[in-house]
Amino acid sequence: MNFSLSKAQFFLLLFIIQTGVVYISFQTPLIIYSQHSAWFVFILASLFHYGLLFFFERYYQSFFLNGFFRWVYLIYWLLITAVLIAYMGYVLASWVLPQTPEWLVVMLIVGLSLYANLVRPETVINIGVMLIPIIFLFVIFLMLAVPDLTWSNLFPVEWNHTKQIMAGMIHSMYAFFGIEMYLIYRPFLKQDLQVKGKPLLIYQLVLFIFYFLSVVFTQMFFALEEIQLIPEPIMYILKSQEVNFVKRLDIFFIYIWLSWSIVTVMIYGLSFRVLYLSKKRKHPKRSIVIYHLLLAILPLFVMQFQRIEFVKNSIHYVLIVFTILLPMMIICWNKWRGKRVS
Amino acid sequence: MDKVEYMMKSLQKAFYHSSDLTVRQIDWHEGDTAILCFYASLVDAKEVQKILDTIYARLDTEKPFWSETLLTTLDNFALPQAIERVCQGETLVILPDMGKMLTLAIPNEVRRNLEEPNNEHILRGSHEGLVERADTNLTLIRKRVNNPALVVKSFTIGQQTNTKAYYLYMDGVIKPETLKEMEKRIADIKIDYFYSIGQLSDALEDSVLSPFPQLLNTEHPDRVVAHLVEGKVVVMTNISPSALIGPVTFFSFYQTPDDYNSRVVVGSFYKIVRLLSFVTAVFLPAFYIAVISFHFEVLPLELSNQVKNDVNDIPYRPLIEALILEIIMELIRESSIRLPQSVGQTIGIVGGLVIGDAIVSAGLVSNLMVIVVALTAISSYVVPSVELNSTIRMLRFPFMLLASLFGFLGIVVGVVILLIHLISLTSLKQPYFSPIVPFQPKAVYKIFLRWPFIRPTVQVTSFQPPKDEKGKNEDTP
Repeated sequence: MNFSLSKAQFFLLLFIIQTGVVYISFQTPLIIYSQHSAWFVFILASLFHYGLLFFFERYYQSFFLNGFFRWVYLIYWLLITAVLIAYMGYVLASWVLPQTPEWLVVMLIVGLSLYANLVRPETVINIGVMLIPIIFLFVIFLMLAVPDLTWSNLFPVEWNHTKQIMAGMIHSMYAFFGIEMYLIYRPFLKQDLQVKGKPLLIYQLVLFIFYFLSVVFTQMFFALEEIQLIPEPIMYILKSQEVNFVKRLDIFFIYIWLSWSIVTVMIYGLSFRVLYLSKKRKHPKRSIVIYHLLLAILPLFVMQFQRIEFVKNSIHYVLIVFTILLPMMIICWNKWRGKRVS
Repeated sequence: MDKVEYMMKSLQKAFYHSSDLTVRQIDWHEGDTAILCFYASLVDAKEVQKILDTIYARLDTEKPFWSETLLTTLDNFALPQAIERVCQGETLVILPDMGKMLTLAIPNEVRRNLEEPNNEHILRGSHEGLVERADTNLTLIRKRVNNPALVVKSFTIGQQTNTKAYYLYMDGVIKPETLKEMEKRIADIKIDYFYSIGQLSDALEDSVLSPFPQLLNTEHPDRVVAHLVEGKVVVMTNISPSALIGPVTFFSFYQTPDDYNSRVVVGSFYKIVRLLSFVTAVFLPAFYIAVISFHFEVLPLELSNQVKNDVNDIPYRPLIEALILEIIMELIRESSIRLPQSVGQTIGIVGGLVIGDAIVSAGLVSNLMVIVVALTAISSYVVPSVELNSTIRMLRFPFMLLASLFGFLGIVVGVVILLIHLISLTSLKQPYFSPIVPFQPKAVYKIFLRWPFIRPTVQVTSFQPPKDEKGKNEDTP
């Protein structure tokens, strides 16, 4: 596929993938497992993420995917997108659309992704720009919760519970999910553009601040006992805000989150398109349609409370494998063989 | 049958014995005979007679270039050329013995006065408007750009109608790819009978089925010039006062000469107001329907009680209620356009006040719905472009339908579809939603603000990012 990215487009793409679906919910498992130290553990996890970004930037040219690994990632993205769509449907059903059939919500989300992926690739690359103002809105309205925050919830930080810190680190992975896309889209960046150094640091800082605020706000807003019962803490914080012009602020933000998540699904579709069509194919449009047909069917198998809970409790292990371990392994293997992305 | 008689018959046959065709035998110099041929409907006969008298006088002096004046030329006779010239309103004097034809270019000047365009009113600035004659329009434009870099190229549209048209550009400002694309599209036009500017616009646009206009249609010469210096191509015809300008962006339709003729702050303020009107014009009825049908809980308690009291007595669903009012609104609009201006205003008052009041009293729609529809109508008429104005009015119907089916989810789905469409749309193969997509942070403010120094900028030509990110976001001629 023939397209190129500017630095702004590249980092915006990554930002949307990494924050899209998980922003409203990743705080819960992190705080449950790391207790009062959650914010500190998240700082450590962010440092690790920054290191990983450095590593990827240094060796992205060695991330050459052979036929086998290409299929591994295609299947992984298909399944992870299906899970994301199922989760989106589940959240919508529990917050705003209890009566709407699940299959209809799935069809609408998949239909939008299909439409975006059948037109030029630049559409999916650029559509994230439209989310910038509404993401700002998210943060601004979160700030309304400041008077209700209890700063003492952040302490004491427990340093000596290695197990707790490790569990927190592992659950922080939700925040950095989709980071393997760095390796997929980095070769499309215009060749004369430098990413390492300041741009990478700025991206890491923006992502860190965006997530860190949500972790700290959640920790300060809810007691540890409460957080166990709250699957989407950011939405609950917004729900409890009182403003003059609307009664339920959270309803608007659920739909903002939905559009943000739909764009994430579209970007996963684009990634499928990029990887699958990196080899010349006879019927590119047909394969995109088939991918979306599968996307319309697969989430229906996951869209149940127990299954969603099971996926939520175990998906971080899958993420560790596909976003950290496997890319590292592939890079090392190709480095040893001297194979590079052309 | 002698030669002259035979030629006259051939000419009459070539013009299908049209009643307004004049084919007459006249005396020429030294006993020769000539044939006078012209369309009486297209020629100013008095002027023709004057020129012919001059030619007779010159013939008597036996000057070698007796036929050459600013208005006359002498060529070899050929029937196809003769037909073409007569159709263009020229008068032919055919000299059968010499095998020549003298052409007198004195068409009958039928033109209306330069009036302010009815569909593009402005408060300050030039009130001249383009007319249905290309030469007058070119005068209006050349008057504003005294520079040979303003290039005018002519072409004909309609294989049967042979309508004259022109495309204009500023050499050195326009990007070569823009010009090449326009020339390619003009060359590809295949129309037999050209009679409407819409045909040209259909042939030149990137996506005819899109609801969004991809060429700006204006009748203001100052607006034409403003776009020319921004590196755009302007296409005009001899039969319409409209000039088509391309490539354009979505935001070009929200600009008016008033923005740049008024104070900086005032111009910026109204630009922002106009852009915000897009949101209310498209989404307000859909939002109302979604709230009433699905998300009543978003309303504050005091307001929800009022709304509930208001809506409870209405027998129809909110969608039907909205459709009734919206369709009435469209009917009022259509009738006020078709009727004479004075009656049109009366219809507006009768429709707006009398029907509005009566329909609420009859309990068919709620007061709130009247407010929503009135606000929507006002917002949609804020758009300075008639084309985009109609698009916006039409767009709210699918949004209303989606909102009545899925509530806010439907609106989100509609917005995403709309954005995907706008982002992938092009005008002469250049991004339509620029400078938001592709994102040019340094140019975005120009959408909302009118800057003190109006520096013409050339529209971005590709979805690809510029080579040097540190460089300017757009080329400045």
